[in-house]
Amino acid sequence: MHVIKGSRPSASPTCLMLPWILVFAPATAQNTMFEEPLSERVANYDIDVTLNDEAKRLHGTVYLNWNNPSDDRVGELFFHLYTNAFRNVKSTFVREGIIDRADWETGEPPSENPWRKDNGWGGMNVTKMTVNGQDVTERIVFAQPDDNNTDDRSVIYVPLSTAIAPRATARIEITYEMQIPQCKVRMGWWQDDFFMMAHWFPKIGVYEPPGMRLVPADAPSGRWNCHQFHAGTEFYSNFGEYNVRITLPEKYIVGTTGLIVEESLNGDGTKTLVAHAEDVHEFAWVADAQFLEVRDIWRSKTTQRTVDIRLLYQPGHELAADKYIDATQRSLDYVENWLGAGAYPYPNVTVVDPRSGSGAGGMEYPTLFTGGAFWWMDRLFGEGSRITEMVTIHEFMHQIWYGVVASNEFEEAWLDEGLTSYSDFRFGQAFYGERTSWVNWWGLTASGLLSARASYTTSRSRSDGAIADPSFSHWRSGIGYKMSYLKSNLMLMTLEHLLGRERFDNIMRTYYQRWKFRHPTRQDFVDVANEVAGENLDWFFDQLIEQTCSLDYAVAAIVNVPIDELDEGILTDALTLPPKVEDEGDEDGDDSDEGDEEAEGEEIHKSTVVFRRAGDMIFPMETLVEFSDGEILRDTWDGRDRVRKVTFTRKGKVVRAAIDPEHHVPLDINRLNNSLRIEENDTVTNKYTVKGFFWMQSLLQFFSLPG
Amino acid sequence: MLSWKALKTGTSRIWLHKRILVWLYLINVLFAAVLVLPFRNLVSEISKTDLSDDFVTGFHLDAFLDFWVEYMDSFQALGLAAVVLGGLYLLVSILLTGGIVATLADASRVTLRRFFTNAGRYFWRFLRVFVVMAIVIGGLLAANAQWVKPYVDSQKELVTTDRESFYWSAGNVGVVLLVASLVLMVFDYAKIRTVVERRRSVFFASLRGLAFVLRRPVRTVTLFFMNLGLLCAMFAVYLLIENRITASTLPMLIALFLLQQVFILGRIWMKLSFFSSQVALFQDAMAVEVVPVPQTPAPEESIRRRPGVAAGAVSHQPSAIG
Ligand SMILES: [Zn+2]
Repeated sequence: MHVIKGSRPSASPTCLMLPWILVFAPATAQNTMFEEPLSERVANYDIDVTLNDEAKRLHGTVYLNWNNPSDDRVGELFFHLYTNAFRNVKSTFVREGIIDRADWETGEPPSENPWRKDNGWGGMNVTKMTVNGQDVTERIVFAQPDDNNTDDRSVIYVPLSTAIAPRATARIEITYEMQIPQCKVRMGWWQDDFFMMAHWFPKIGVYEPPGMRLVPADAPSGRWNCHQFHAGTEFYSNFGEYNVRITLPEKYIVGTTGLIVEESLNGDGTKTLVAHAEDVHEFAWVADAQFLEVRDIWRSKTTQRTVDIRLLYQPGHELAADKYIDATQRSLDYVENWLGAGAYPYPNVTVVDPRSGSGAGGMEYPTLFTGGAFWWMDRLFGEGSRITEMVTIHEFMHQIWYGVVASNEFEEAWLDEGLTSYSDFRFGQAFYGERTSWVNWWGLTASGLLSARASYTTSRSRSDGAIADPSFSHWRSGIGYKMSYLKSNLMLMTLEHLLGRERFDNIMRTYYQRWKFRHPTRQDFVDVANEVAGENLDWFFDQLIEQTCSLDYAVAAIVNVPIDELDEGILTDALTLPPKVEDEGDEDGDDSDEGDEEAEGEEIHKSTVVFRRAGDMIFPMETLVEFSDGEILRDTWDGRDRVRKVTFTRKGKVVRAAIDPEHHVPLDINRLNNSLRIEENDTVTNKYTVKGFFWMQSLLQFFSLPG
Repeated sequence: MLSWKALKTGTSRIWLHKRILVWLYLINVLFAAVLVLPFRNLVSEISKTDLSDDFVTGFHLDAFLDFWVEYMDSFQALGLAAVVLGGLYLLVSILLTGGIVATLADASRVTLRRFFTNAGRYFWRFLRVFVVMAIVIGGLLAANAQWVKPYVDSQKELVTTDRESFYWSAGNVGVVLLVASLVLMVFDYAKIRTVVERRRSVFFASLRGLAFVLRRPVRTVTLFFMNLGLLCAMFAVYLLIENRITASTLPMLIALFLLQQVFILGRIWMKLSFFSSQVALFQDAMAVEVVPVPQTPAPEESIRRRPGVAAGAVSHQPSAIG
């Protein structure tokens, strides 16, 4: 992206203009959520909007108190007008989306292009803007800091005639109107009476002073960080306080970020509600005429603190409603134990089951998130499928990794998506079984590992980018997805096994506690990890975050040759592992005797096991060799060389060899080659031969149907 | 004849000709056996690894992923081979249907030679029936895609819950399946008329098949769905039992194998039951009896007519119209 610089301060005090804060009847004064601010409240919004649901229009005014967080004189402002991503096919968002959907093998444009129909477009128009009372409307220009696509209007740039003084508060008033787009991705209207309102107001960018995130501490000044809206990225903004007044037809049931503190009928068929939120960096709301509502409560087992849970769900989704509530309560419990008391700091959470087909599902906003449920799936599979629960856990955990620890999702999406994906994997296993957290139906089982590994291990483009790359920089946003959601999740799972759960959890807890209500970078995460682990893990993070390595270790071969058939000259080269670790026979006298007798009857073999590093990542791997007498030798290989050959000369044969035998390295892209047995598992071969034969018989009968 | 009585008569006919059940089963086994070895070889690739432990009692998708990724090409090749084999099996089924219908229309015991003589006699005619039926079903699917599906989609956009949306989709699929089943049924009667009335024109036989169904819609459709119900019940019972057999020990595996073979026999029985009961219904309705086919090919017109019955022949079976 372009680096957008501010300027050094000069002594010009910001003048206080318009006492508009008094004009906006504040619900603020009497509603304080936290006694002390939990964050540096840089961007504080009071917003007053009216929804015209028939015209799908929203208009209103934003009163923004922006606290200059730097010692710079800031002479320009940047705002996101996210809604303009849905203005036409020329926006960067839609263009990238279309190219993403193209068939990359044939070069054909996408067969399904949701943007092709010329309907449902939206957009946002700032009709007036004043900064500290000065009208700057005429100065507004569209900016394209990422791709120079001059048709993209998702960012505006406002040069000021009077710079904002260091640490001063600028009072910005914006009158705007918005044509709400049809909901295709995350936000908009659906079926006339459902409105998912995310990114529905002009949102100021983040001014990063020297020393913040990637801005060097010795930089002459800070810079604006305000990316365009891309197909494969999410968001980044400052924390603040929000007071939002929404007027809309009475029929709507509304959920918002924060707490709804007031609701009143206007007598003209409309109602007005006021919502208040503190220490959040985004505000979303949702209105649906057919929402059903459930309220529940979660109580901390340690502090007795409570969190109100409000579920807004669709008719017919009664089974899913139980799942939503249960998964939210379990997650609140788990996160409290994992990251510390009060890890979810807000007094309430709103869970939204959006309108089917709206595309609004599975998205996180502070204290409000959308899930996903399918009527038929709940009826058919019941608890055999945990999709609703897993989406709930995922979006809930974004309340931590995004909501509270607010990394920059444009630039380092893995810091929220990777950590959240790891969390949902782990929570899911704890709640629904290690091997059954996703599916447990008629003998068919799957855990979150499947979803984490599936499209990563099968992807040919898994090494086309690094986790460190900004999502929008990849040649295809799917690569960003693999990096941010999958590879980084597998990286964290692997790190957990490398360090042990206790040390790993200390890292996560420290990272959370240190960076809550702030904006960390990947280096901040790595620094915490190195510090808490008490060892330098740069070798690990460099390979996985900065480079494009993938990990694959294999057992290449097992060879057993009777000693009689070998020349003595060769035998002198034999390497032998120290005979140690597990000898299962020792613990069971009878078995041990039998094993020994068998072994005594066996010939002496020279056995060779070859381990191979098939990937480019270097990682210490556990190895296991099992002999025909039941003895098991374990060792750790530093994994540096391409090949490791281990040779044994002893009675009996090597019957089995494995690398990473307990699957502690989920990053391994191929686990099939991680083990080898000289004798097949006959039970499985026979079972599936019988089943395969039957499947073929059934298929044939099916084919004969019209015959 | 009532539908249930046709079903009963059909069942006793299958019992009489149970040897064709065995023949059909053996042909199924023979075909299925073609791919057993390649499939076993593929499975043994996972059996040589520790991942195989995940398949002893259930089917763990996490572990299957690695196997799938590594052997994707083999799976695809096997799938293609299975489809080709299925196509051949369909041709063989078309061939056998001539023998099946002729046998079931006959009260005397069938010999292998006579069965295949009939199979060969009607093969080309039944192949043409299949082509006509494929055209009709293709047209049905095309009509659905052209007119019904867009309407269903437009309705799905109007409804506000996924439950209603599901009902629309399921309704659409249900109607297509229902109509396709009825088409299959009509062509069953076309085949029956071809054999029983020794018809040469497939087109005409198809029309006569349709006419037969249209004149007795309740009885034919009831009979068809009684058979279909039995088939579904059999599926349900199979699935319920199969789910309880983990096949992690040899006796369990043998039990599973036996269950599966009984199920395949059951499916073949049901295929015969459709024909047999429909033949019984047809013969009863038309009061037709086919002269036992002689060892040497007989002239096509060797059908006896009972004076006064337009399309039928003398029947030595009691005729219970009802
Ligand atoms: Zn996420």
